[in-house]
Amino acid sequence: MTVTTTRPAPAAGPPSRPPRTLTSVGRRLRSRSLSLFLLLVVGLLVLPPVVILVMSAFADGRTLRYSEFTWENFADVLTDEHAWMSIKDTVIFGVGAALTVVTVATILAWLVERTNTPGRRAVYALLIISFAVPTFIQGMGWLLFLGPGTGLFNSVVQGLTGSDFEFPIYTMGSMIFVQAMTMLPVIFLLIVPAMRSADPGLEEAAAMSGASRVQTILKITLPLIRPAVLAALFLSAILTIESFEVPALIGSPARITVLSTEIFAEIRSGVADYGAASAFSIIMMIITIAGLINYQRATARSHRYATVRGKAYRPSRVDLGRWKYVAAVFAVGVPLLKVSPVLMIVWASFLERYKPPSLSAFGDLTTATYAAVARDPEVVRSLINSVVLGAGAAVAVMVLAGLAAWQLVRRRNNVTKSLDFIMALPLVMPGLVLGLAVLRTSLTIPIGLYGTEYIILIALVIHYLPYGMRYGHAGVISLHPELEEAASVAGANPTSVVRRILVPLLWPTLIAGGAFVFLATIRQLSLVVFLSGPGYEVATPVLFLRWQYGSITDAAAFALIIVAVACLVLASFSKLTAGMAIANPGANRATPKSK
Amino acid sequence: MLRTENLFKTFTAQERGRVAAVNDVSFHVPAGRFFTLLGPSGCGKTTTLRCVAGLEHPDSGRITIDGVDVYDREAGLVVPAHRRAIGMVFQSYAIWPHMTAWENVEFPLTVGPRKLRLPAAQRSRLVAEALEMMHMADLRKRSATQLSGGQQQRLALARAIVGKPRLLLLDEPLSNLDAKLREQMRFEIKRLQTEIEITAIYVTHDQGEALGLSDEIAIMCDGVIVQRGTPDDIYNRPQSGFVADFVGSANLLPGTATEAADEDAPVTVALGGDVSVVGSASGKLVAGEAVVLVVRAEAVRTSPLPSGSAADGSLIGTVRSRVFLGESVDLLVETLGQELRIRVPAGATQYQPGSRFALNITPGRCLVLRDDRAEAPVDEAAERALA
Ligand SMILES: Nc1ncnc2c1ncn2[C@@H]1O[C@H](COP(=O)(O)OP(=O)(O)O)[C@@H](O)[C@H]1O
Ligand SMILES: [Mg+2]
Repeated sequence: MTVTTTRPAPAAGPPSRPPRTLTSVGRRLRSRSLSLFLLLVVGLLVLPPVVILVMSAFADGRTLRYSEFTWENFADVLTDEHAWMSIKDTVIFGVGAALTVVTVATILAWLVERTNTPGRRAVYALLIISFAVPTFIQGMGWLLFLGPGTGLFNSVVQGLTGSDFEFPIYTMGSMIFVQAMTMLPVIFLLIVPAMRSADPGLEEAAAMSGASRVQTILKITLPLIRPAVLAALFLSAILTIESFEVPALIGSPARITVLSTEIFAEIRSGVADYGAASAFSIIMMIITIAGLINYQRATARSHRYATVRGKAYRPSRVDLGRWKYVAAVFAVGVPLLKVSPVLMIVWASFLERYKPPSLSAFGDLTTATYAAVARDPEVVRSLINSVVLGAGAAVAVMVLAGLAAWQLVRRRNNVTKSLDFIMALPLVMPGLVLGLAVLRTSLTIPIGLYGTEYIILIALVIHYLPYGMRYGHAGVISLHPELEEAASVAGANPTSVVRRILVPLLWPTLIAGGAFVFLATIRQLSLVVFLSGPGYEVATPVLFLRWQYGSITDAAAFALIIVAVACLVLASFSKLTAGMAIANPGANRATPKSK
Repeated sequence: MLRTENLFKTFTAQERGRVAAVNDVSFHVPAGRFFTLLGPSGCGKTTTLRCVAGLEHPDSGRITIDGVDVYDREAGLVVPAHRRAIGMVFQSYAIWPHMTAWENVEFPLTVGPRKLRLPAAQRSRLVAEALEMMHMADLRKRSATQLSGGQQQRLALARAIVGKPRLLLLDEPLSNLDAKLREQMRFEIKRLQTEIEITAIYVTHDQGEALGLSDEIAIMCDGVIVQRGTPDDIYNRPQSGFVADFVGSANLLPGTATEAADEDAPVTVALGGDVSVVGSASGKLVAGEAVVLVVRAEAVRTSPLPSGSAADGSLIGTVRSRVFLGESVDLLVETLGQELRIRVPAGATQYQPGSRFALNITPGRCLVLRDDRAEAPVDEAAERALA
């Protein structure tokens, strides 16, 4: 051939390395070296806390020795009447909140997506706004709104009726209500797609065959969205059983304990009993696993129901007639109700001494509280820690999950399948349990992590690995493998393929996942409540202590500063990355698949 | 230029167990040739090509490019894809959406060992040249996502040749284009290949592309090369019913050889019902042997039914359906209890469904093959490999 070669010939001349000769075992190891490395890193992160948690459930809980195997922790827990009460209350709390939130969310989703209810567009905005506020802060708001004595609701009702009405806030019913309200946005967003894709043709067909509107809803609409509703039920039950914020805020003063507050009490009151706490944790994990299995089944079914359609599809809306005004009151009222506690926090944060909103109180509004809180070194330090650790966790999670998802999708083998399994493992550990397990691990394995912020970082990374994996997986699946192969053939070595093809193409996904993880870490309380300490504290646990032992108005100002910082960091972050997205237009568009 | 020896590749698919995607494939392509792997979908063409590219590693065998081994199972040698210096066009084009057209083409020149990279000026000259060659010069600033299917295709070609590789691999490059563009691109590819005198390995399931482009064609079936030859060979001298059927969709009529015959000698085949036709033997035949007569659609002429007795030894057919193609008409004709697809000039004669005609098979234009359809083609290939 007469053509000159401008790229190195294979093994031609000294510049290119001599071709490697490898045994098949060696070749296999080399092609799997990245997944093996990831498996090692993730395994070292995830497995020790799991193992040590289980071990300490079967060891004497007041020492750090695991030499003697004992059932005593479980025996103690399961023969204690009070413990049984807690388990029972956990179940009531979980089931009650799940039923409540799913009922409200389903009705809302139906009104917004399938009817002509006026004001339906406001629902999204109102729900999303309150989503940015950490659960614990929302709970604080509810206490200010409905709480005894100073609660706004009470004073309004008392003023209107002249009675000495008091809303029964410290009851199981209120716990269920508040918990349901905090979960509403997530569950609503879970049910909306099902409502949107349920084929109106089927409903119209039912109407044509003589079914009344109510019959149509009961016999056609509901069965169609049933898998999605079931999935939402299981998810909200899991979220509730794992939750710590509302039980701590409302349950504790009401002397209603659930598993999470029980675990907290074992560690934080008197002498820490890791044995009992671990036993409670194991029980909580078993309930979680059962819920997760059912959730998985329900989502698998709802995916089968989902009908795929082109963009042209527009469902027709049900005309509610005169009822639409009643519907509007519900559709706008519920999200408004959900936002109002946050407004209470805003109100409280502008006061020096708390009093319920009234015309006369307007004169007392001041920014002095903010000024005082912002000068507090503990507040400043905890905020900086929260942001740095949250950003660090977001980066670490997306790097690990992005690479792991890539390996899993591109080469399915035993190594990547194990990797997938270990990455999903943290899902079965509620935040509080994982926090406890990480704390216990840092006490057991003395490599100097106890009492540092690194332990918080580790816990955050472990907890959000499964979420990062979900983002990473969706991102890699949408990339045609030939995009990477084309680069290999063009002469790019594996590192260049990752750097110049994979990362840029996956960038939007990595950013979205990172933003999610960052925001979620700022919201976290239960995961970090055991790990945060003087000198290495993060914001929410500090807020938790201040709410319990300090002034309401200080806590409110601090809470709003947390929300503001989170939003600010996120906004500047997305501005930063928006620039990159413009530099890479269509980066999330994959090449059409062949045939 | 390219030599593959005894390539085997087995996949374990969850539903179907182990699949021998490539089953003892050997071929040699001299420099500057256009070599095509032709076969039905799933026959292992892509897998073979990917083994050559280094994107897939065979279970065993040996691959040599330009006299240098790039894969040798025995010696435990594997040169990874990025050091094989090959150009490749993928079925999906695999145009990187985060780069402009220019950046896509420049990419192969910006990777690889640092010492061997060209200075920027020389690089841009090569990129401009490659884009020019594919008539893409004015689209260099375009983002890759704003290109049409045909433009992406040309960009993929430009990218594949910019580094002046010695070997160009193309995997069904035209299958995602519409009919008109496909026609046009076919010429472009041929022009490009002769212009830069590159050795090309082309994979397709379209016999028209294969016949039109190739210097040499290898027909694959179930992971095995069943016949190799020039387009003329493949089309006019198929060695098996499979090849005859796949290339040119011939009619295969079962019959019996009435006499012994040497290769290329005329032989009379009894088709049943007193009808016999003279064809040319594709190999040595014994009298009384079961054979198939390969009847191409164009090799049949129609004439009005002879008056009087119809049973005078000519073939009578009934038109079942017709498709008007402009210059010609395709007819599905029922005869001897089976359907025959024939192509006749459009014009004077009206071919209405139900009408009957005498069918005259031009003597000597039909090939007579030993009836191999009972045997598995795999065995046949194994025999050839041993020989
Ligand atoms: N990565 C793979 N895993 C499992 N089976 C595969 C894989 N790649 C190809 N195959 C199988 O190998 C056979 C040959 O595939 P392929 O080479 O793509 O055929 P062609 O390109 O001729 O259509 C097919 O049966 C296909 O299903
Ligand atoms: Mg193919």
